[in-house]
Formats: sequence, C-alpha cells, structure tokens
Amino acid sequence: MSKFLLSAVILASSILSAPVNAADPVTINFWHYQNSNREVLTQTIKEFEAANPGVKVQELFKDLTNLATEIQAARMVGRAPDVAQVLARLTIGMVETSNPVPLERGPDKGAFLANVASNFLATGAYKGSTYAVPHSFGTPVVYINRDLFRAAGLDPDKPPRTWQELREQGLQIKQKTGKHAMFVSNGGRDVGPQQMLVNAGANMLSEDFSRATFATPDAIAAMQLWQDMAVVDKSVAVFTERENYSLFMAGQIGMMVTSIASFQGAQRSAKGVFDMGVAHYPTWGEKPRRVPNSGASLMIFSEAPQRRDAAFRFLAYMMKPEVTNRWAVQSGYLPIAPGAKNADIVRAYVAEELRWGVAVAQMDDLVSTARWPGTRVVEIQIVLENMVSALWQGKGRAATLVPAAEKEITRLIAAGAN
Amino acid sequence: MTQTLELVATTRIERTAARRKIDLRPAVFLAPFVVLVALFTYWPLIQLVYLSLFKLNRSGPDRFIGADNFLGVLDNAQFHDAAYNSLIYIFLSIPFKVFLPIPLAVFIWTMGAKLGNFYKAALFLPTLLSFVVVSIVWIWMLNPVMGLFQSVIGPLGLQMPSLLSDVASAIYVIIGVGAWKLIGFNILLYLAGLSAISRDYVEAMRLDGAGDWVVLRRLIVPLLSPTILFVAISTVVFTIQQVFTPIDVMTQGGPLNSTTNLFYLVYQYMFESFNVGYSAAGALLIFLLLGLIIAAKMIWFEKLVHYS
Repeated sequence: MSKFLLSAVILASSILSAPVNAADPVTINFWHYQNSNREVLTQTIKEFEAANPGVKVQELFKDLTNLATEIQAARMVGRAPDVAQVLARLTIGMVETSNPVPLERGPDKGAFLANVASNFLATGAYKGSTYAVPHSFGTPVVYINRDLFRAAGLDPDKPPRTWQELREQGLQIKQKTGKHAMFVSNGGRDVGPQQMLVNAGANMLSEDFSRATFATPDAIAAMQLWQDMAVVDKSVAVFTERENYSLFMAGQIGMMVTSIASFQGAQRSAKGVFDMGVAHYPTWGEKPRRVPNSGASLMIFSEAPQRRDAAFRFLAYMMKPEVTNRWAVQSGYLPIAPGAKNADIVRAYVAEELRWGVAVAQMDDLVSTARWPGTRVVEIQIVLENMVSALWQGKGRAATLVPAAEKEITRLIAAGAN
Repeated sequence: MTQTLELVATTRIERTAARRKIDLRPAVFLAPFVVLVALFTYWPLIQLVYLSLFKLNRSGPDRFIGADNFLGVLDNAQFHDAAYNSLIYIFLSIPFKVFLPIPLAVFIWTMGAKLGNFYKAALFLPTLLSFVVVSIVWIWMLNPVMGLFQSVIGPLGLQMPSLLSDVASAIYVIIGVGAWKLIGFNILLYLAGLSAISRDYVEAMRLDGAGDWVVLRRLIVPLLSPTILFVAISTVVFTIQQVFTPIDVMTQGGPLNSTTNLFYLVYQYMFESFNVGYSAAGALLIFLLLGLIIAAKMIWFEKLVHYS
C-alpha cells in the first residue's frame, strides 16, 4: 500500500514539475462581466490569439456585483486572474488590496497607454502610476420618450439643454399628461448623484483622496433642484430603481437619466412601445458640462513574468484604436481612443445612429468618477444613495443633507484607511 | 436464595455497564456527522472568530487588532439601522409565522381528508416557489402605476401608494411577502403536531360541554406547545436569513436603510466591499444576537411547554 502511495506521489509530482515546452502557448485568465456583448468580446479575443500564437486567453464571465470581491479573494490565495475588468470607481480599492501591476512596467514601458484619451486614462491613475485602462465606459445621457413629449406639447427635437429647462419641461409633462417626467438611475447606488454634483462644478474628493469635498454652493443648489422637482413639482418618479426602469420602458415616464451603456437594451425594449430619443446630459446653468464616467477598466494582476508579459500583450492589443473603436460601435460603450470621434468606423455609426452620437459628442466632457479609497466603499456609496433618497422624500433640505453626507463620507474614508 | 438472586442481578448490571463502556457502535455511526459538523460548522466558526480579531494582510502575517472590527461595525449608522430592522423582522414575523398558522392548521385538521388536503396544498404552494420569483411578482403586483392592485383600485379613483419606496412601509411589505411565502410550511409543521393529538380527547371535552375556544386553549395549544416552541425558534433563526432575497431583489436595503438587516449588511461588507474583518465581526454579532434571543425563548417558553 505504502509503495503504491509513494509511486502515486512520485507520478503526480513528475507530472506537476514537467518542464513547459517553450513552444507551448501561455494561457492567461481574463475575468469580465460582459454578458450581452460577450460574443463581440470573444471575437476580439480570437483575433488577438490569431495574431499572437504564443498566448491563449481563457475568458470567464463573472457576476458584476461580486467580481471585485472575487478578484481580491483570489489574489489573497495566489489565484488572481491575469487580466480583469474592474469598475473604475473601485480602482483605488483594488490597488490598496490586490496589488495590480502598474501599466508602465510592461515590455513597452506603457507606450500603449498613448492609445487612450488622457481624460479617460486619468480614471486609472493613482499616486503617479497607471493601474487601469478604460474598457467599457459610459457617460450619462437623457433617454426621452418622444411620444410623451409630443403629448405634453413639447418638441422632442428640442430636449432640455440645462437642468433648469429640464425642470420646466418636466413640470409640463406632469401637468399635461399626468405621468412622471423623469427618473435618475442611481447607477449602482452613487453614480447618479455623483454625476449631478460634479456637473454642478463640485469635486467628489480632495486631490489626496482623504476627504469628500462635494458640498459646494452650486452642488447643494443642484440637489435642491432635484428635491423641488420631486417634492414641489411631483414630476420625479420616486420608485425603486427596478420599478423606474420598467415604467420608463413601458412608456410611463418621460425621461430616464442613465448611462449610454443602457442604449442597446433600451433600444430593444422601447421598440414598438414608444419613440425613444437620446439627449445630452443637461448642463448646470451655463457651466460647461462635466460628467463622471461609469463603467469598467482593465487591470493586470499576473505575478509570473511569462504570464505578465502575455497579459501586457493582450492589453496592448485591446487598446489599439481600431479594436477599441470597433468594440465601442458594436457594444454601445464609449470609444476611448484620442480623436476617436473622427475615426471612420465611429463616424459611420454616428451617422447611422444619431442617438449614440450624443454620447460620443460628450467624450471631451468626461471626468474621472470618484474612486473611493479604503475599506468602507459600500457604506460611502450608501451614504450618497441615502442622501438622494432623503431629498426625494423631503426628509430635509439639501443645505442640511448634502454637507451632512460629505462629513459622514469623510469620516468613513478616515475609518477605512486604518 | 434471595442473596443468590441479588448477586446474579448485580453481576448482570456490572456486565451491562462494562459492555456499555466499550460499545463504540454509536460513536462509529455518529462519526461521519460529527466530522462534517466539525468541518463545516465549528471550524468555520473558529475561523470566523479569528477573522474578526485580525486584519488580513496579503503580503505578510495577519495583524491582531483586538476589538477594532467590532468597534468599527458598531460605530456605524447603517449597522444600527440593520440591527433595529432585524429585531423588527424577527418580532413582527412571530404573529404571522408562529401564531397565525395555528388556527389555520386546526381548521384543516378538523376538516375531512379531501377538503383538508386541498387546503394543505393551496397554502403550501407558495413555499415551493422561488423567493426571487415571488419577490418579482410582488413588485409587479404592488407597482403604483401599472400593478395589479392599481388596476383594481384605479377605476375607483384611488391611487396605490408606492409601498416599496416609502420608508414607512417598505419593511412591512417584505415581512408580509416572507410570511405569505412561508405560512404554509409552518401550517404543515403544526398539522404534524396535531396528528399526535387523539381526537378522543376533543370528544371527551365536548361531552363535558367545552366550546371551541376552550378546546383550543385548554387542550390543543398545550399539547401542541412543543411544536409551537420549535416553530418559534426556527422563525427566529431563519427569518433574517429568509428575507435576504426579497431585500436584495425588491429594495437593496433601501429606502434610507429602512429594509436592510444584519444579514444583508454582512453580505455587503463581504461581497461588495471585501471587508473581511467587518463581515466576520458582523456575523459573530448576529450569532450572539440570535443565541441570546433563542436562550431567552427557551428559558421563557420551556416552562409553558407540555411534552406529554
């Protein structure tokens, strides 16, 4: 028996320690959450493998909610994916917990990063290094039920330009049709409010990421406008996120403020139900538009040099302008290459689908989403979500609720840093 | 003669005792279960205590931080809301899940077999449905714009309130949905308990002139009390777990933390923040809270339970 066991151990160890043939391809793992766009992604991976016979990419779909946690857990036991999609707002948390590879340490010393527009690239930068490159980015737009606009006596070709105009048009929709005028998607708890606050000129975080800084007079006024629309005008649909989305798609709400990432799905759902349009995210008065991104970036976690090199080759390929532009056109996400607006494939699709072109026109207005540091990220997000819920429900004025939320988030950042 | 008999008896008792001492069969039969429980319950519990006292470090040894994780969890408004809501979930579920099924089970028990089986099946059916499906169905029925209830009251000029997005009502919707889904299961448990009660006792009480209420109070409830205790304890233990799915599907803990509970908060710490220390501390606090409630119930109710 013991001889048998010994033989088995020797056999197993000989298999495990068998030298890898230099000609064997290196297989890297790629975790992502692309479900409806998986076919497009898979095709891109196949093309990469054809162009790089020495590398195989094992792609694995993961649920978005737990993806970052899975990466952190896998990292802790030494089984992190080589490349993974991570929500851009979790970048710093991943840097602090999971040791991703700075992208300037690749074979080309980060030269491939030049293929990404600088305002997009800023979302992956932290303490002088770049840890993430944008991949599936969205920008907020206003989806419009053009039929309801007409029913309210509004011209759907002249959608609201500013939030002040949106309030007026919303009130008209409510009064003329009896239906709710708007809902704002929270975009995973905190993205919706962030976009409104930053668009009004605030910065969510101090430059050193140590405190929240969004309670500026304009940001408070913007939040007060939201409250007035909900409480005074009663034109905002204050239902759950799931209810709101379904109601908009059933033609029961005039406008939906959410990411362009929802465009393909919204287009399919609205077909035959109502005439759907897309408008720019409104500006705050005459201030220039300034919208934080939503969506995910790619990060490298490989430790073994061979796999790390392969992961860099994969990332460099994924960042080629022809690849990112095609991905944007096929998936509906934003293009990320500098000057992508002028690329033939993007221009052709914009000409064909003007509604998507609205998002492309907002590329230059994109700023980095707030990347919360520390270990209290969910609690911070809930504070912002609760701030907006309290505003919608008239539990207090913006002048009280917004500074209180800022103070609590600063406290959570400090507590999460220990 | 008497002395001889006593000697034989004593010898037999000693032999039996000796045989009992070395009889390993029960231990052998129990061993797989003991190993499984040790591996999947007690070892994780020990690990949980460890994780709650340490800060994990990916590049070096874990750091002992004492009660910091517990203090961090306790010094958090969301935890306070979650703890308060957990108690609401538990104590408001008791009338619906523990007490309401008793008369329903008694009604079914007194019916004929065919009609009784029909009601049993009808009331048990929601238990078989997926909680995700149930939650989504209720979202649509309660939808204030185009839900089922709105379509009924709308023609009367009434407007369905937005129950799920209102701080004052959302938690009661989730309690109601949970009770609706699980009441049938508890009715079955009570019916199992009732089947052990001889109907002769009821007849005897009837002959003595006892009415329905007296039969229920003086006979059925006392004899059913072990089952009631079991249902009460399982309701306490499982309620805050069972509402996890409706919370996640219907409200995600909102609005304004009004539907979150400790179980959901621990999930968020672990699977949305990867805050292992806080989630371990939170899980231990749940363990202690449930332990305390169950201990109090055992001490309190045990006196009222009639096992024969």
